[in-house]
Amino acid sequence: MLASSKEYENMEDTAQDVGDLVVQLQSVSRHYGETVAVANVSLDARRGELVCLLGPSGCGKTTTLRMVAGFVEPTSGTISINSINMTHQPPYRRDTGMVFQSYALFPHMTVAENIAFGLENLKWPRAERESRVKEMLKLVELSHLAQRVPSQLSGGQQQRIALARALAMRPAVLLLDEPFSNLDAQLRVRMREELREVIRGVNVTTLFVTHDQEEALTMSDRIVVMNSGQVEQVGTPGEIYEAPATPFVAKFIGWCSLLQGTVGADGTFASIAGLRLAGKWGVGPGTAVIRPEQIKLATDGAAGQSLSARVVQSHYYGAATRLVLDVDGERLTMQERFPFGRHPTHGDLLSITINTNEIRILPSTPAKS
Amino acid sequence: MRSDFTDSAMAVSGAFIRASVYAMLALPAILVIVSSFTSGDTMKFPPRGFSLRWYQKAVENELFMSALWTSTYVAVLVAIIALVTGFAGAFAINRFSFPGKTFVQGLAFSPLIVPAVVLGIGLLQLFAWLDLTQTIYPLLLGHLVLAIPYVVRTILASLTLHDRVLEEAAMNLRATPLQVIRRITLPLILPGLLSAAIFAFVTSFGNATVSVFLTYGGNVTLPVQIFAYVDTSYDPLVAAVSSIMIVVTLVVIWAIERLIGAERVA
Repeated sequence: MLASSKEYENMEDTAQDVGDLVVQLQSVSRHYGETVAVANVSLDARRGELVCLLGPSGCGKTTTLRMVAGFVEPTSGTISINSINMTHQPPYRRDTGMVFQSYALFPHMTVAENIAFGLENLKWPRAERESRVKEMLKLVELSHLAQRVPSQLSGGQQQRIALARALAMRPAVLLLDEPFSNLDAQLRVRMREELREVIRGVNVTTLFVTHDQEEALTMSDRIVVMNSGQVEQVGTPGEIYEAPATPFVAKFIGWCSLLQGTVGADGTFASIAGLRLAGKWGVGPGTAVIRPEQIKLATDGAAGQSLSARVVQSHYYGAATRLVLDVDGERLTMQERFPFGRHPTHGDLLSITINTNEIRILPSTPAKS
Repeated sequence: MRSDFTDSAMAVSGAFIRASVYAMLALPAILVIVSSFTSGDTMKFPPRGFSLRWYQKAVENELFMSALWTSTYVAVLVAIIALVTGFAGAFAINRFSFPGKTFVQGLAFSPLIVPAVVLGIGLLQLFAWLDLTQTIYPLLLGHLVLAIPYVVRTILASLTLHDRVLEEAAMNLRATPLQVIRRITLPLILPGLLSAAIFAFVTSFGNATVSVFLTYGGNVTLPVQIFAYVDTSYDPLVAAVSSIMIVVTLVVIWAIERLIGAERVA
């Protein structure tokens, strides 16, 4: 819709992947003087896919998104949208629609004018513009607010209008920058579900930035975990959670415990502090990833394999209690529902079993900082 | 209890100080306006009787009326030109880093530091050398030098507070940089533009110190004309002329507000 004939001439650069790849980043880096914000990031998003960039603040995920939108120019690498090289095109020539963290609705325009803004710039005829605005308002179920100004809307409403404004232009890619960070906890979950439904409904390719692992796990088709400017792992939510590629990914997704240690010749893992886990892992130094749900209270029949644990911290979450345990000098986190009035407290002794079948040991890689 | 007393004492003295400051700012103007309605032959407060004879005299006075016209159109031109150049300057300082930026920034503020008399003499020599003394340009350019710093400062403050993410959003919505300025930046910093325009107008309209060096026979501004008149006589005519000047200032401020304000709706 957007590309001029001149831009089509650049197609040969990325010709190997015509078709389903809507967004493609190839070895994209961004330096600010000495600082490297994004280092050699390659990723792609297929048509209709919802890809999430997940990582702690300062990991380069927002810079990556802004490079796709065109607000930040890469120091090296190429960015293609619909197989057209967009690396050096200004934001207004890129077929993207962005929802900003602060929503960035124009305060001097009504809701309807906000949604129509992009369509006016695309020179849509008036009648089509008006019907598209109506259609978008209906999509986000806010038709009754068309003539309000943004300051009269709640945070959730503003977010939906920002989404409607971005989607009105039928962009090739929808870009979401921490879209839920300004909403309170309950609204956040509701908006998350709503947003996912709307995105599924219009089937738009989406790049989504968040630092919230729960958001990433529930919303994405694929997650790109980033850390200090680099991609740690790319995978489906299941792969990221069940088979983390690096200790960082394991630590960032879920509340797991990481134990440094070595796997001996018999396949048994021994942590530095002395906790031993029987199993069939490959020999060598590594990090054991133990998820809270892999630790259970020992039942009477399993007395032989049970371990003794002392409660160090106890956090009550309502549906479950999260315990930090001291087991043979290692700290392990477990999650369990206890009967009312029977919550363990600091210093209590528990008997636990660890389901070693599901535990992964990540082999130590030589010096990856 | 004690702090309650201190609080109310502070509040009362605060209100008193505020009231005195406003009074001192407004009193001269009120004094002049009131005494302009006198029916007597000398400027006195309180005035003797009531009449509009001095207004009639003022309107009939060719010198004062042509000076009022000169002042008004110079001030309007200055406001327009200063607004355009000042916006461009402020935008460049706010958005771009370029070699000599600090110098440009300092240059834009320097007329606030140089004494007006010094500026006047300097400009007079410059324009004499350029052979422009018998035209309107010295007045216009001199006033621009005075007005632009205020305009740059005011607009720069607005631009600094302006949320740039809105411009990014507009660009993401396919607006070209020019469209972004026209439809997002300018409407949103409108209050700043408004006060900048008023600053520029008032600076030019009320200036005497610099103008006195830059006027020539046919182009005397009203403040300069008032000074010249007061030199020789002290009748209520000046009071009437000054009152007219105050009214013109208020009308123009109101008009600028309406003009720029109206564009916002469109």
